[in-house]
Amino acid sequence: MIEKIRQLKDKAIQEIKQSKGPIEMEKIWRKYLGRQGGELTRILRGLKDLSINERPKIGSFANQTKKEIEDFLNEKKQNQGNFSEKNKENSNYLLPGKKIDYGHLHPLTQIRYEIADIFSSLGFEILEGPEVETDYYNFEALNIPAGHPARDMWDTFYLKSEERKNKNKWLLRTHTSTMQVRVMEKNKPPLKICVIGRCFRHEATDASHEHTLHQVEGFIVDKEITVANLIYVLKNFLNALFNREVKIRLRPSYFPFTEPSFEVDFACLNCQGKGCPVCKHTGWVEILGSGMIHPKVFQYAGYPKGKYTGFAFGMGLDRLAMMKYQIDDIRLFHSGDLRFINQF
Amino acid sequence: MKLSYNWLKEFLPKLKNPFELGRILSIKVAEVEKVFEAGKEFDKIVVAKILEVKYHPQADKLKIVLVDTGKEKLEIVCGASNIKPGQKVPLALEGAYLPAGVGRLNGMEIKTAVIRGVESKGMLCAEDELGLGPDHQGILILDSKAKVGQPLSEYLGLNDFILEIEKKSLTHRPDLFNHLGFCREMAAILNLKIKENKQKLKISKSNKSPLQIKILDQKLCPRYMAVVMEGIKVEPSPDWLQHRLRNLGVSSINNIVDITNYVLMEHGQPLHAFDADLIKDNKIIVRQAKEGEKIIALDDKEYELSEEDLVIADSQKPIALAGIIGGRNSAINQNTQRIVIESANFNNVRVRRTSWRLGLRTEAVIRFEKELPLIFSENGLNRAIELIQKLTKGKVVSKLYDLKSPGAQVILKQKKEIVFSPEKARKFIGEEIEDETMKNFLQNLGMEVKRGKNQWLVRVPFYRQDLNIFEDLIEEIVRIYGSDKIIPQPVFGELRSLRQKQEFVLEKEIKNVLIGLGFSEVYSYIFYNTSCVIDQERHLSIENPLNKDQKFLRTTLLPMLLEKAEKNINYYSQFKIFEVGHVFYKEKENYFEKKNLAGIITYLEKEKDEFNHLEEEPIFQTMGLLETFFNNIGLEVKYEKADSQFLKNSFNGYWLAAKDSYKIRIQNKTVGVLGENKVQEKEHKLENDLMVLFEVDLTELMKLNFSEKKFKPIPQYPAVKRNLSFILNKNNFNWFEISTEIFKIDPLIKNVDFSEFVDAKCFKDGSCNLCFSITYQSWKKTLKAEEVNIVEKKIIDLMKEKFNAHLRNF
Repeated sequence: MIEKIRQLKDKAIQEIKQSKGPIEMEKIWRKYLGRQGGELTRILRGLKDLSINERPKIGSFANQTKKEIEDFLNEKKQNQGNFSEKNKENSNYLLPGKKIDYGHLHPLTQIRYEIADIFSSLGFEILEGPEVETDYYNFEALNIPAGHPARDMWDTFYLKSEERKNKNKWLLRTHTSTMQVRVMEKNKPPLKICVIGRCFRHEATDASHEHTLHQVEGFIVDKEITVANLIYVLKNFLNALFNREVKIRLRPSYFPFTEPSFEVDFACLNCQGKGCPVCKHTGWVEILGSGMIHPKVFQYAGYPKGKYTGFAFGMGLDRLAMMKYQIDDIRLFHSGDLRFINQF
Repeated sequence: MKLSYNWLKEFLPKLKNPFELGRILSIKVAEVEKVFEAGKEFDKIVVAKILEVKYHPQADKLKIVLVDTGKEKLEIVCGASNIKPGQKVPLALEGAYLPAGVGRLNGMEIKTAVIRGVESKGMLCAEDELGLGPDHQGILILDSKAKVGQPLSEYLGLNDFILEIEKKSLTHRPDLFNHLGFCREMAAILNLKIKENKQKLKISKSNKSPLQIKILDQKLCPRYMAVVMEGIKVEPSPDWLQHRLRNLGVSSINNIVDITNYVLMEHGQPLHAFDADLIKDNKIIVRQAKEGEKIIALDDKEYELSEEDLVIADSQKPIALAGIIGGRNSAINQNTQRIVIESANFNNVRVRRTSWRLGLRTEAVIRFEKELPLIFSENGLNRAIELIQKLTKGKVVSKLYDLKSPGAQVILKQKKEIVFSPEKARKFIGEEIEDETMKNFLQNLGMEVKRGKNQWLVRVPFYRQDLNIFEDLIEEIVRIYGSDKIIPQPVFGELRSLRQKQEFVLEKEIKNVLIGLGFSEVYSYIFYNTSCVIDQERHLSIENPLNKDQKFLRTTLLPMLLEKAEKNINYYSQFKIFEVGHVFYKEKENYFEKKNLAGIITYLEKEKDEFNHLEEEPIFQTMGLLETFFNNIGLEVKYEKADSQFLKNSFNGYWLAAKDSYKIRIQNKTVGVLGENKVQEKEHKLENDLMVLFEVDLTELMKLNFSEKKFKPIPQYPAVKRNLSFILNKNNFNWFEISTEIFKIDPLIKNVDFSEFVDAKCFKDGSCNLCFSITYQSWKKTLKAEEVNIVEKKIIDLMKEKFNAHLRNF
């Protein structure tokens, strides 16, 4: 019997020596010392069948063997533990971490938020307004009566009107200026409003033309708002938008709902105004249209004549985003292509 | 619109260089898009004289031409047959660049070449090769008086600078669509004087060739001037006239037509010349067209007219479309001897409408549609008579007809005055500009200023119809003064705190939570086509869609979002996208616009093992995702099975498969829907992939109560967590119902968490296995096993009684 136990021990020690890793060692433990079916355990359990003479001798030997195997196993475990720790320190592996999916906001949403933040900080209220509009708010109330040649400036999608009793023609708003009279007829100055939203132009699409566009419109109405205020606010806004001191210039322009009207350029940031392909070698990049709100617009809003002055400005976001991210095809914005969106 | 620098200089001899001029105009009048040198394309092309023509020894059809360039003598190989010694011809020297044109897709650079063994040091050019005309019969033979060695551009009178003006910002300035108008602006800005030659016109008093002119609607034709001239010889215009027109991109037709175009560009008045002998009965009637009446215009196209259109007619037929284009039937031709020159003014809206409807935009339309000043009619006619007399020996043989509507008579006599207050102007601009300065600006622009004590009366010249109110004068002052000189002033006012509207704040939050959950945002068009429409009476449609795929306004975001998903599936095996956008629908006669949120999640089809874990089905995974989303924005969500009727009526549920769709319920309202992509729709079928779609009505969602964040004390005593497993009937299973019921049993139950739901095929009777875990916790003490057991027993009983579920025995 003793011989059998000794053989068992040698076998176990041998296996432990050859074992690799804790799983194998666990197996060895189970094989010899496991509560159910461990070979040595079985011998120990079988002690009760031995004669009383043999029992203490074999018993103590078996117990001693068990302890020896256990110790040896523990020792090996410990060594191996140390070894793997050591190994880690000296290792030279560099694997990638596991990535977690994170979504991407559309680049135009990001620009919208950026602009909304700037105007919020200037105390403007941010609105969006409806995309389907009446001819009244889109044109008439902005001093663009039917037949006015200025209507050509905005190629318009009209809605079918068959069963409508309401005479007012519906259309897709061509600009966010629709909100001027909408806001003014319900609120008294002082007003500081910023409208960010979609508008539509009846125009075939190509790399630089889209029928679905995004605009920001701002206006301030109060007593004694001046042209000098307009210049100040625009300059401040552009400084914040481009995060640096920007040089601007105003050119006379024409919008039926502002008088005087200005087109606003900023000195090209790419070449500091020296002239480059970005600014078509003019040194200036056109960025927004603006002007002092026309008295006719105040009249449509129902304000008393001569009581208030104000200014308004509007800017396209698509071109701004294209400039900022160097996007060369405007159609990408509505492509829904994640290879595009996931870059932002 | 193009302006010739030389032409401007004729009126303003002291003008600055063209580039400086362009810069000033951009800042003070209208954007100059570019300034370029006319004839630049003819660089290195010179006038050469042919000295000798020899046959090419190696080729029958080629010749060797010896030419004198003024500097040297060169041998050129040439294939043309019309050349003789002594002729003067255009010679493209080495380095010249011929434009793309007929038979040549790209431009061509001239290089010295060896042609059949003979070196050719340039090329003699035909008309078409220079882009000057269509002729390719032979080399262009120049005038014998041409100077040898002279650059061709100089010979052609092309040595000019062209300023290209952006005309959008001049919509209110019809007076500026010509050279004189710009001269008036430049004179005011630069303080110059316009050199105008005011010749007295010689007009005969006899009325040898009378006309009968009748204006049937004076509102549509407020002024009609005409004169008859005879002794006309129709021939090509002199070079200078041809060159001027060419430089501005107008092709030369004949002297009479060229003169009308010249006057148009100089004075801004569109004129028309008729062959007087082709006007039946010498009658000119300005009338509305008859329905269906046809006219062949000068562009040789036939137009069918309607009563909306205004025509010039003789006693029988229309001879011109008023203010738009002349008719072929009365056009100036080689045999014309007697002409009628028309210089009229037509109603802008009418001209615009007809032009729009017929798709016919001419130089005349561009001017008339902006309400051309009435005064232009006489200026234009006078100038035309003067030029015709000078260039063709034509004589006026009728009286000068001038028919004016009563309204026009008033306008032409009226002296429009605007009340102006310099003090108010300073306040409006926000800049201290002196009275005297402002007065000078206005006077330089042709206004008369009468100064009163506080107020001035400013009289506006006839050609400035755009000046009507105080603010119009402000514009004039600001632009002449220079907006760059105005010192920016901050806006002062009450400091008010501002909280942005809930819609704005929440939308931003929604998007942020969604991207945190791995969704990317896409934008799509608000239009779609008929195939996306099942309930046409709810849809708004576009009257003038760009194409048939964009006829309807969306009532749901899903169809277009699906289209985006399908595109991406080629590049990404799994993704999540969403869109927030407006949807539109009508009910009865009202239209509604709402904001929706929609999303799509794609799942890879998994191989199923014997245990059918239902909670891993895409639809339930999506529910879980949305639950996380709604919890994050402060809402508790429940789902309810949606039937096909509901799907049809709400959210255009057409896009969802009826078998597995659910209502999204929050605070007892249905705010959205989710379901699998309706795969039986052939065009949207995708292989191996499954999509789950959802759409939420954000407008409704915004109206809900969002739970305010509030701290709950952290429990002091440990929780006990126990798992339970039940066998139940699959057909009768609603987790939300079960969890709600369990919660009611005892306050010790803190959480009921779903673990798994196995639809195991090993259960022969079709029953399923549900596991969930219960967390028990007390605020007062550490719970004992017996206390938990009592509650657990109640749960087991409830499951048995209410849901026919039996605790599973392992």
